[in-house]
Formats: sequence, C-alpha cells, structure tokens
Amino acid sequence: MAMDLETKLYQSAARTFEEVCFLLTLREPGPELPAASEREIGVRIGFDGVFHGALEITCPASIAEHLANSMLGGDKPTAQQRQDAFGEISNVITGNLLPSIAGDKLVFDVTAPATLEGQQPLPWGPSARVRLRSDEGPIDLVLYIEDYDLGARS
Amino acid sequence: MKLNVMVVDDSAVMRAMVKKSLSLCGIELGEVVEAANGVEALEKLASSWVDLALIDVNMPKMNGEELLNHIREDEATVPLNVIVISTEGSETRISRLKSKGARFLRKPFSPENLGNQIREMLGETHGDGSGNQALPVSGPDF
Repeated sequence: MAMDLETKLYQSAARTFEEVCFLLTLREPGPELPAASEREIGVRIGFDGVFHGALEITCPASIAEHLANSMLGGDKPTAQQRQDAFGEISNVITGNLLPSIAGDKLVFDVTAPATLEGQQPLPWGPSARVRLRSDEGPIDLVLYIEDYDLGARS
Repeated sequence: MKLNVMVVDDSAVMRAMVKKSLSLCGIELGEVVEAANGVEALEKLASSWVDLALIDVNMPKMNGEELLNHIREDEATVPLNVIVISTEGSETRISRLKSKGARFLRKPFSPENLGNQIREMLGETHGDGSGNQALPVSGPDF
C-alpha cells in the first residue's frame, strides 16, 4: 500500500516538473536519505484536511536555478527567486498529490511553502519517499501523513 | 480592446509566470496590476480599473476565496471577471468558487489554457447566446 502512495507521489512530481519547467525525471528505486551535499534547497508544505501532514522536497541549488530559469526566463535568478520557484513547484505537486490520495471531494488547507532550513523535524515517520533523477541532479520527496490509514484508501 | 488585468498571488515567481503567460496567450493587454494577497488586491481594485482578476486561493492575510466573496459583495466590483488559478484539487471548493461566478484554471497551466479561458469568458461577457450572465469587461472610455 505504501508503494501505491509512492507511485502517486512520483506521478504528481514527475508530471509537474515536466509540465512547468520541462525537466524530465526518472524514479530511482529504493531511495536512501539524500546526502547533505544534495540538500542545498528544501521546502516543507503542510496540509490539513481529512488527514494531516506535510510534504518535504529537497534538491541541489542547480535544480532550483533551472526551475527558476524555466519559469521566469531572463537574467540569472536571485537566491530568493530560486527559493520561490522551488516553493511554487512544491505547491503545485502538493495540490496535485492530495486529490490523487484522498479523492477530489475533500477539502484541504495547504500552508505556504516554507524553507526547510532551521525547521524542527516532523514528529511522524515518512509515509512515502521518492527520489527523482534528472540531468540536473537528484530531487527527493518525502511525504508525511499523521495517523493515515493507507490501506483503507488505496 | 486592451484588457486591464490584476494578478493576485503571494508568490512573486508565480505572478511573473502568470504575466509571462498573459503576454504569450494572444490577448491584447492593457495595464497589468499585481497584488500579493486579497487585502492588497481590494486596495488596488478601489483605485484602478481592472477588467479581469486572476487570483490564487492560498494566500496570507486574505485568501482567494475570501477575496472573491468581498468582490461579489461590493457593488463596484461585483461584475468583475475572475479566474481562479490554483493548485486546488477539491471539486467541492472549486464548485464553491464557480458558484460565485469565477472560472477555474488548475496549475500547472499553459498560456494556451489561460488564453482559452479568457476568450471564453469574454465571449460570455459579450453575449454569445450561451445564456450565461453578461458581465461588463471594459471600463469607461479614456
């Protein structure tokens, strides 16, 4: 059942990266925790509805730069623009992921993307974890859902 | 006719993306006004003529749904054309927004999607026989 959740996470993320910024990704099997050197930029988005949790996405700065370039074009993006672009992509992934898990009738409140730096670790273990490989480097997605009965909804 | 558009989103990057899409979607653009939340949008609506508002849902201070409620409650802004552009996936919430006279465009979207939504909305506005309520799209002649 957890594999199903990971497939949904992968599909939501891969589709978003491809459609928004033409970044083609492949799913890596059995992802390990990302190395610190690969986690240069990270965001967390919380959600609250029929279940409660968060999605964390991390990647190297080069990917965030690619995303910002694709979204904005023009000059070299600033650090803030890179973070904003990555946050917005994460927001789109979350928005596509939640209805794929819970159906499209339920309403979720989603928090604004927040930088992972300096945040407390979440009190729950990961419900799904996916690593995407792209030409620009790895992208790691970790989904946390509190007290979620995965079996009942798959 | 040039269209004055307000883009309401708390993300500066997303506002830039929407503006880029607007410039590519084949609509003749007038002034493009930006606001970072609902409160700022209402302030700018009070001081500038806007034909179309493109609004996000999740924003600080005043979210898109609250903004839409304010727009529909104020006599001056009730006819404003509104397209909600959001990652929102709940049909329940989307139906609620549509019941208030807004169109909905889900992120990610292409300039073509946006252009089609705007053209459909203007078609309705100009009375295309669809039976939809006619909404004015142009301000006073300057």
